[in-house]
Amino acid sequence: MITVLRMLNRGRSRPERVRAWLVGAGAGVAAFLVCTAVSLADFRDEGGSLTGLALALLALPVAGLVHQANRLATATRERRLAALRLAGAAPGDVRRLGALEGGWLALTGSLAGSVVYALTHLPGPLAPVPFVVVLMTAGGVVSGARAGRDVIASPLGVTRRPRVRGPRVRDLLLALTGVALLVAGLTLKGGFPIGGKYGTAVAMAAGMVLLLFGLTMAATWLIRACAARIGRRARSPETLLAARLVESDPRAWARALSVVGLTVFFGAGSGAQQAGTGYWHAHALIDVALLLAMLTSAAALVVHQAEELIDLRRSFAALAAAGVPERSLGRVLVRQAAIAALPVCAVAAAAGVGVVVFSVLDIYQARWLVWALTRAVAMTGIGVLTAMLVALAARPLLRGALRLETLRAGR
Amino acid sequence: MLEARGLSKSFGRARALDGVSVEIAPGEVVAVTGPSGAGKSTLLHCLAGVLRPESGEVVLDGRRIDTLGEAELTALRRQSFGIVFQFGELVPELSAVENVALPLLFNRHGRGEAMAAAAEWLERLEVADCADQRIGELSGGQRQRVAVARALVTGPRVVFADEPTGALDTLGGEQVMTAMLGAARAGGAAVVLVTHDNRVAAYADREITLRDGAVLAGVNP
Ligand SMILES: Nc1ncnc2c1ncn2[C@@H]1O[C@H](COP(=O)(O)OP(=O)(O)O)[C@@H](O)[C@H]1O
Ligand SMILES: [Mg+2]
Repeated sequence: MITVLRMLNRGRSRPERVRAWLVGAGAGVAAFLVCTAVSLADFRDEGGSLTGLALALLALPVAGLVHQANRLATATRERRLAALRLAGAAPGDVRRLGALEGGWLALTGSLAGSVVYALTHLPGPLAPVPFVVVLMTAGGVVSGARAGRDVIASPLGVTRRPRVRGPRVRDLLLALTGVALLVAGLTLKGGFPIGGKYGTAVAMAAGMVLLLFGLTMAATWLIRACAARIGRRARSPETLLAARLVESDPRAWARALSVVGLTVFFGAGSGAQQAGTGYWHAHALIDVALLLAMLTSAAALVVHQAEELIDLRRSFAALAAAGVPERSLGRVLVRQAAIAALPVCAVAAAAGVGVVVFSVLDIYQARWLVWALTRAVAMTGIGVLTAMLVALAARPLLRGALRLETLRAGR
Repeated sequence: MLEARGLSKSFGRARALDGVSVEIAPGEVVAVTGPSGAGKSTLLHCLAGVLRPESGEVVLDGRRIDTLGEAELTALRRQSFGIVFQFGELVPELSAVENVALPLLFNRHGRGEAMAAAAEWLERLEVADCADQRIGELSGGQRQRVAVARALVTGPRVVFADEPTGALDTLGGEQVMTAMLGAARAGGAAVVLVTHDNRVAAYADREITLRDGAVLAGVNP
């Protein structure tokens, strides 16, 4: 098996190296975030716990990014996978290879992340490190094995399963449970029935995690509904195509936009809080953290965009041969990003402001809302712009996808 | 109307076309036949302005098109040519009628007008029932008819079809061929039809046979 892995990796192309690097780096960042979060969340200091919670929340989308990068593995080395199958490898072998590679990359990445954590938190606790590394590696194995599920590597070539991934009711239930826990924590304050002194804090933290997770998933519904609406009214072919493409695969967009949504949510929330207080220095720090989160989200979007192009290249190459200008197809990519990102960012910003204002409703002043809403609109704009810029940056890749050879490959 | 003189094209060391000359009259149906690898697809792509030949020229209505700039050539393909591939290559995320309306929309017709024209073409090709279905729900023969509608909807001068029945059974292939040629004749479009199947070639007014990138002489009836 190891020999086969070596064979697969010999003469890796540049996209493959970039992808492997992305998986490793993502695992490293996630390990660092989780270790730091665990060391901060000691429940003695409320501020520290909240920061820890925020870091832990950020680790979720980073893990999502790692999984997405793993999914790309099969796509970037179609030819050699097909050759392996021709040489007699079973589909299970292909999956095992993915697991092996995903686990290996997650192990090295999370080790590197832990080293950075240990160096930067010299007096901090080291106990969580081995747990985090084991957890990340196991995650890498599972993700690597599952990544190949959407791809059928047959001896005649690699095809993607038809994309019929719709929204699920489960996602909405997650978000509702989160809201219920949050509301219970807020209204019961100290008198939470279970968990003693920390009961309220734990319930609210869990509620927050569930809510954000559920919202990310429920974004699928939102994206699909918006895209369907836009598709029905589209006047230009670019908008029609973009809307229909988003509508047919809202899950992938929801996943890719999860970090963007989280960043906008936190950004709008911190804006609503800034309005009432005067700690500009502390808030400047938060804004820097938000900027970093936005960069992570851009990375997730780049991976998604690459995957999207692999899916679309046949249709797009045929359209180009029929006389559709490359410029128009580039515009489809950008509009797709805008159609998917706008509802997600708008709802995330509104939710961010809403959570802050609702939790301190008794003392919140109406005039603070002006700043809070300005910030929310600005965060929405930044989120949508990030998504569109990534799509814009994918145009050189588009040119490669449009070459006629794409259509010669057969099926 | 469409004329190629001395076309040559190589890929690396493989010489796909070696001095091929053909002429296509308005409304004529020409079959390009020959064994696999003979250069049929390459010839079709050069004629359709998708590939540029290394030497020789392609002339449409007295205007050389192989030397046009990329933007002009793209516009020409969009307005004067239609193209049908072996597997249709429709956009799976769009419905059948949206796929057919797409070229009109790219030629900047209004949505209502484009959709109405697309529906009319689907009717002409006897796939009107499939108008609102996604491509994945259609049979191979239905897909090819939608692809033919997409190629003809702009009223092109020439339709290029590369093995349009290659993925279909005999009956389905016959139905697609009669539908395509009927619609092309009605619209006054010439058809360049690449095939390695003699039964399909029999639908054509004239046959050009290629071998190793050159025209085999003396087979024009
Ligand atoms: N994009 C390409 N890259 C490399 N070789 C090609 C390419 N296109 C065509 N060829 C080669 O040119 C020759 C003619 O191909 P083609 O025109 O597709 O033949 P046909 O359609 O008659 O089967 C073949 O030897 C083929 O391998
Ligand atoms: Mg061919």
